Amino acid sequence: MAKVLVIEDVADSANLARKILTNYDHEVLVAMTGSGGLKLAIDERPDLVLLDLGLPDIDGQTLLGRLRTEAELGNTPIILCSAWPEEAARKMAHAYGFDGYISKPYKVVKFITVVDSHLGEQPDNIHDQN
Amino acid sequence: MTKTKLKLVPTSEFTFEELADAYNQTRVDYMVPMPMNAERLAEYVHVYDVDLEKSYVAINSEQTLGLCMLGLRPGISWITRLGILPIRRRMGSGEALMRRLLEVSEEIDVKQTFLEVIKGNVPAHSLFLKLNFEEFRELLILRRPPLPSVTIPVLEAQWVGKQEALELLLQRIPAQAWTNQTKSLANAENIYGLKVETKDGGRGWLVFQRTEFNLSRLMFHTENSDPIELMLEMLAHLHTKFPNLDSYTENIPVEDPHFPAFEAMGYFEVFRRIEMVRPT
Ligand SMILES: CC(C)(COP(=O)(O)OP(=O)(O)OC[C@H]1O[C@@H](n2cnc3c(N)ncnc32)[C@H](O)[C@@H]1OP(=O)(O)O)[C@@H](O)C(=O)NCCC(=O)NCCS
Repeated sequence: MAKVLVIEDVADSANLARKILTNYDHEVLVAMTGSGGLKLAIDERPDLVLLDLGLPDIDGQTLLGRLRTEAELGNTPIILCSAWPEEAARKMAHAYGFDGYISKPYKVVKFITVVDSHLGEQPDNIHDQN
Repeated sequence: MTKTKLKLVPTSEFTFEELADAYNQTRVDYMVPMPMNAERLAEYVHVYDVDLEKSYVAINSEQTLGLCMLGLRPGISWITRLGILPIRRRMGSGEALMRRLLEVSEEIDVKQTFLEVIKGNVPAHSLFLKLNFEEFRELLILRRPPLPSVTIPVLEAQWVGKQEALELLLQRIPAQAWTNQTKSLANAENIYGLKVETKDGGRGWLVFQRTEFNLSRLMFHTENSDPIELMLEMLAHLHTKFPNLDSYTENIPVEDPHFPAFEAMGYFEVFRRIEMVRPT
């Protein structure tokens, strides 16, 4: 079980991420703004962060840079979650040094596989959940 | 398809919270989601001279369907933030909002109306063509993660504050997209600039916005010199001084001769917009 922080402003996407992660026994924290996400990341030190690019107060790229400057979060994997066209999103993930990328809308197997690969875990009940 | 019975209400009758909420809901499925909070929207309205009394929210008896805003500057108008809730699309609301803003523009002696649409946004592009907007040019949205500059500047730079930066901007031939017009930068906070000169009479300047985490609104001009070399020199100064800031600049015409310098400095194209214009 890992602690995953979801920084996402669209309630439906945040709820879906929460549901999938909870089904796979992860503890989930959700922030719907960049500033809220930054605060939760510093206070709670999650094992992994799922970060949306489009946030209402500060964009995901800028927030990533901010998270990276926190010494305690230096090694925390940060995954870009985006509905942007795939090519643009991948370019962004690569240029900014995100640790991974998940496209939206989420596909359960892909989602949990990426998350667990960054947590060093093997998803063991993937087929039951899909 | 049945048309929704709709009423158009000026945006000035809503709070920024309500407007930001409505805007975000119309864009949940947008190709490049860029939500806003009330504070960001208020800043947007101020910087881009959006007239809230001449901008409209479309509502029917039960709910807000969408909205559209109008920026006004002498002789020209700009249509922005158009969006309709996904489940209420294709019922004529987007067109009704657009037609109202065009009527308003006509009533107040506007000569041309501008807007931008992300390349590939077929519904919006089709709507604008239907309303007789014409494609004017393509614009680039560029971004650069925080990185130290790999190029060491050779020339000396003179750094200037907002007042002088705005004077530099006035030297441009006024052909910028709305967001990059001198009035937009005059309305914005934290505007600075830098100037460089070569020994053989080349000159260049770069104006930008610097906030806690970002460099943005990069505007520039070079003369009597290779535009790429001089631009690279100015960008090298900028990113050597602010290596930890995330940078982006929007609505640079694709044919801009300085673009290779941006690429060399680590900027990449995020997406393109098409600027469209309609004579009133
Ligand atoms: C663009 C948008 C505002 C159109 O609103 P709408 O209420 O669905 O549009 P309307 O029903 O008034 O349609 C008017 C015209 O737009 C065009 N249009 C609208 N949806 C279209 C679609 N899916 N495909 C092609 N053309 C479309 C058509 O020309 C249509 O005229 P027609 O009915 O005679 O064919 C809506 O799709 C939207 O909110 N999109 C997301 C946000 C966005 O893209 N905003 C514009 C940013 S520049």
